[in-house]
Amino acid sequence: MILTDREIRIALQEGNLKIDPTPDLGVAITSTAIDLTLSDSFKTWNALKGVQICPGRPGYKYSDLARTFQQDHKSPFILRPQQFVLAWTREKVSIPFKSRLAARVEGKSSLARLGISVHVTAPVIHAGFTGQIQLEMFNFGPHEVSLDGGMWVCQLVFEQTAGTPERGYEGMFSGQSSV
Amino acid sequence: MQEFILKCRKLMEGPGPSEAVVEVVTKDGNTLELIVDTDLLEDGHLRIGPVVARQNGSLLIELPREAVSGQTRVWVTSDRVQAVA
Repeated sequence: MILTDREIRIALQEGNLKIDPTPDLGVAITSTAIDLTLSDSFKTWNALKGVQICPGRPGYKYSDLARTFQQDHKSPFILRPQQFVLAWTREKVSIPFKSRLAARVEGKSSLARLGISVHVTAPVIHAGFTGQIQLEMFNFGPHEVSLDGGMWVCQLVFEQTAGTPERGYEGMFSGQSSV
Repeated sequence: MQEFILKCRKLMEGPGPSEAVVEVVTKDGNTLELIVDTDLLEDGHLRIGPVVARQNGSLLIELPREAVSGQTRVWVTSDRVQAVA
């Protein structure tokens, strides 16, 4: 079941969803989603010819990769055609485990019509998530597009789970300082 | 709902503005890296999700985010997990 504007407001009021800083809800909430804005931080990958990345193999270290190949940028970031950049929402989103909510980050038609996508097949935000949402942005269009901090960049669609995820042993450890 | 924390080691600042890259140790002694929000870190521990199962002194826990290996649930030794009030 997808949450409507009214239910999103209730989730925020009851602490089942936290968004910080809270956007102007009057304009950010739509009938079935909430719009979020872009932060001013960007990261690109510098490819090194002949270097392969093997994320499925034991010993794969993201930290080694990031130290070697990742480059920082600040807003405005000019996204060229066929270019990929990591970006983040300005807002930090928290969905407590207890909330029975999950969310999907989706793009906005205003950017999609220019050829800009905001994720690479990883749109699900599970209960328990806390943080600024990572956006994997790609320019499929023919134009250079300026990505400016604060611009409306994506929307979150919330879904309520039909049941409660398994938490088989939580009661057993209640009140213990170590398990 | 009972909350838990897991021992971890911060490796570096994360790619995002409020992120860190941390390392956790699995029950087999291997390490897993994951990128988490710094709000979830305190004194060398990471706030995690529910303990899902228990077996021979090990716990199956749910990480707050997918590890770089692609796993979200992982077996760890029970001495690395603490229940918090």
